[in-house]
Amino acid sequence: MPPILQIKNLSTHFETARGTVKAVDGVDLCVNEGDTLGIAGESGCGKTVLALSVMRLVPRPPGRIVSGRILFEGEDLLAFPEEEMRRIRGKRISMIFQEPMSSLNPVFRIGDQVAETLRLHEGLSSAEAHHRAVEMLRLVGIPAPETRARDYPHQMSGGMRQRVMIAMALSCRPRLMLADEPTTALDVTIQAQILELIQGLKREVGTSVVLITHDLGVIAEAAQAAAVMYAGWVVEQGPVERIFSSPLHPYTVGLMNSIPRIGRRPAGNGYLNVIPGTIPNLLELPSGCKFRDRCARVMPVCAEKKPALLEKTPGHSVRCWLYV
Amino acid sequence: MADILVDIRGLRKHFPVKGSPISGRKSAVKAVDGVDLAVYRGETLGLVGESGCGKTTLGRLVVRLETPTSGEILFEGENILGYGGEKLKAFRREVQMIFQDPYSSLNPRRSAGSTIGEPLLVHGISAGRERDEEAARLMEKVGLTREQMGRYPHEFSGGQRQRIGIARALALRPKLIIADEPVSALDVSIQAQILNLLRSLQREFELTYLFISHDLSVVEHMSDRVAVMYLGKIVELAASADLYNRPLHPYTQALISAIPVADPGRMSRRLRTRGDVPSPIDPPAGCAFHPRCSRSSDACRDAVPALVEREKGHFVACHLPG
Repeated sequence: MPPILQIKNLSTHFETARGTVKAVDGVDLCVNEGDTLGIAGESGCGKTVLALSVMRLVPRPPGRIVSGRILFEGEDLLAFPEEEMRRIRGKRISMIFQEPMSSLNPVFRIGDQVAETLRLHEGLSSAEAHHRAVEMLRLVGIPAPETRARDYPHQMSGGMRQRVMIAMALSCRPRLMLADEPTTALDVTIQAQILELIQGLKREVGTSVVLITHDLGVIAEAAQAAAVMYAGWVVEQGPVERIFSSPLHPYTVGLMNSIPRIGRRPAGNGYLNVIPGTIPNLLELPSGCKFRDRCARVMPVCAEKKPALLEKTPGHSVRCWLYV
Repeated sequence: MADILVDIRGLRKHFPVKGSPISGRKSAVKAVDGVDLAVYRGETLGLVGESGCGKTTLGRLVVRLETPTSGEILFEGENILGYGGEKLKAFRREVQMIFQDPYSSLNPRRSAGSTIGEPLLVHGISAGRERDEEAARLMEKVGLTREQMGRYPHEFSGGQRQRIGIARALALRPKLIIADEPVSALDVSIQAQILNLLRSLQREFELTYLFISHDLSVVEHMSDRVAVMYLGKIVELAASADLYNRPLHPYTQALISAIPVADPGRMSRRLRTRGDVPSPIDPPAGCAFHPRCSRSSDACRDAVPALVEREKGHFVACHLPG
């Protein structure tokens, strides 16, 4: 089966007064039909800009997709006119955001907001759209959906709002859903409910998912494939079991060691094994490998040339001179 | 056994909310609703719970940023609630706080050095060059450099700002530090650095921590004992290993099972909690957790369970623990 989404050498840059920020810098990624691809990375690694690039929602100016191709079901999204893109957004590709309060319109009832998607994309009448919206709200587990459809966003809890966002995103049975930190603002028991919901609906609707998160645990539980981003690069990608059982890139290894795990106190004095240094400033990146100034296994070649993303074992690629 | 540094007894904090304009009935958010808790000298006591459970309010009560509705807080055996004037000022030297948001908890118009040195000035400990020297030493203690003293908060990253907040809390050499979600706003790699820093400072300065967080993995990593809060009450309290290996309260069990584990081979058996956390204005009668609990009985609907010691050092407030 061909991949549903293939990103090839994508670069998205932002022009600032102090220079060009290469938020996404030559990214190659692939999402297989029916899979969930988890993208992990810390602030500023480019994971959100990557999703916005796929939706073609990068604010311009200052942002601009400077090169690359985004093949969705074999067609290059970057070649489509804006009008065509508007027909795709919300229908064939949808997106959910981290903060459900700021992504819902506070002055419209939530039932109407879900119905709007259906009226626009499916051409349903108001009554039909409302009926389907209530069904979607029921599907995402909102109790008494007929009544709650008349609520405004502020009348709902964070978890309920995120369910509304998911109902909206899935109402047209999209082929691909981009979820940007969908559970970060939620409590852990609610996060568990939402992740289960996304996985259940994914099976039911047949949607492929790109799940962006800083939480490696979320990726381990919900994704089949994983990619790790650092300063605009994908530094490692592969099947989720491989990434967790035998991470290759020193950054991936460092991230794994940085998270405290229950029942596994770090040996000896109880200190975590940390990655030194801070999140890089994208305007002051080192030459060669962008991670080298924080890397414990840095070599002379790392300062000279940029490593390429190379396949190490089938499906498992890494961008590091250690593996060349 | 270690001696008790802080002893919280029957502590309540109710925030009044505007009553109904029709019935005139007044109500209150019961943020902290009858908490008994002892913090031992030298330990890290973790306090976990979901948003709105009252963990932050409890922390703020202990530093006297809030005044309780009722109850007592004994610090080294003395009730701090009666303190005023000089005694309160002396108490504040002993107890300091680290806040969650390193952006809003620093004054943007003050340099790092001046922020860190401010407590020394307020408490008349040192001034002038002596104060600057102490601020510089503190900066180095928390992993910054003395050259950065003149810089302003916007010139620092989130992790560095949190280091400034920690240095400020350390300045008065307190006995107790209340750390309220100290790493929640930070990236994974920076979070680990700050946790290590807090741990090494604890050893060096013999600090006691009340470590408040919603992140159960972080709390387990940091704490000797852990208290779990739900709707203003402690529902379980035990040594860290006991709590995570054998949680007795169904809420604790659900919380622990909900943590995503970074190990794709391990299929987690998830215990479901139904629905959302209820409003603390009108919490459910009986055990506040019963509407979400998988094993609630009639007793749970009628009577509030007391926090009792089921095993040595393992307390739980549940009619049907296990």
